[in-house]
Amino acid sequence: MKSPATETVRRFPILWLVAGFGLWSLTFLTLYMVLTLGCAFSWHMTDHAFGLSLQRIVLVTLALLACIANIGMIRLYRRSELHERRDTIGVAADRLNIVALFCIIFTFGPVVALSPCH
Amino acid sequence: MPARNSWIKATFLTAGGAALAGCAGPLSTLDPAGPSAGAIANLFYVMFAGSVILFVLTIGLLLATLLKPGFGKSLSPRRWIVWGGLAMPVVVLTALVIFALAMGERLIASPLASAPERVEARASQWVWTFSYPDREGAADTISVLHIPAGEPVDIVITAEDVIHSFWVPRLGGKLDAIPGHENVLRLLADQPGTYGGVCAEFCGVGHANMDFVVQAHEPEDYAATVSGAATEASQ
Repeated sequence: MKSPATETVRRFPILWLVAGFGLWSLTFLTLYMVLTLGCAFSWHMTDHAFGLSLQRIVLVTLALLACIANIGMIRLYRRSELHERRDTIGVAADRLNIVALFCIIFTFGPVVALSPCH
Repeated sequence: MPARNSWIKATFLTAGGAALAGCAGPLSTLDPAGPSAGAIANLFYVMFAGSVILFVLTIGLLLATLLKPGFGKSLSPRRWIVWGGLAMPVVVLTALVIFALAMGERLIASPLASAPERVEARASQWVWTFSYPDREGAADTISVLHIPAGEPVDIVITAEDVIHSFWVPRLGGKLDAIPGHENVLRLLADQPGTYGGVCAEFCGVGHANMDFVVQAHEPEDYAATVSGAATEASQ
């Protein structure tokens, strides 16, 4: 018995094409929202473990979670029957999800070092 | 034919003159008068150079394939795509992003050993009002911002009605003026002088006329000028 989510993805393989960059978009919105909230509530002024502010800890954790989710997505896809078919959409989806992982690292990596609030 | 050539010449001269005219003037970002605006101008020049390099490389390769049949056959299409379409833009764009982030960090008003002069800028439809909380007795000034030259000044920006944006192109970047929220922009004018400022966010029918001037004074004249402004205001 397959779950409804698995069944949906099987019926609409094109969803795998947008999965990686969909995750990137979701991460972008979430980080933007949390950054704004953190600056408004002065999370960047707090001092937690290792001299890191709450703002930095939250942002870096979210960026790491996005990386882990993307890697999990790539592994999940590679175990699916869609990946085994090796058709055009299947190969493109695999490559796009890997590119999305690089984009997540490239775009959100700077939260490790950049000033969080103006 | 000579008539046609003179038309082409005239067009180039007019267009070139109009384009170059934008490089100077009271609102020119390409004529910086402080370190923040200088960093932004440098960023522009580096970005421009990067775009020129990519443009020349791309058009050069295109022309080479057109003018020299068989050019590039030694490389497989896959290598062309990977090196020309992926590696080259990634290297150039990564360098530009790193430079932009480094420049952006320099623009942030981080704490200094001695606290800079603070001036409050309040935007309302369609006028800028400036207050000088560090100067006791100094009155507000309308559409004229006084600052000391050669010293950093923190402009605390807010708004009373809708979102506006504070921008003095020759001194620094723009920053939004948001009702109920304070943003801090650090400016430094290298030399005494007058610099133009504008509202950079559409804020209603009077937006286009919502401008102001920044008067940078010698530090020893600054206090007297701000007090003088108070005297003028009280009369």
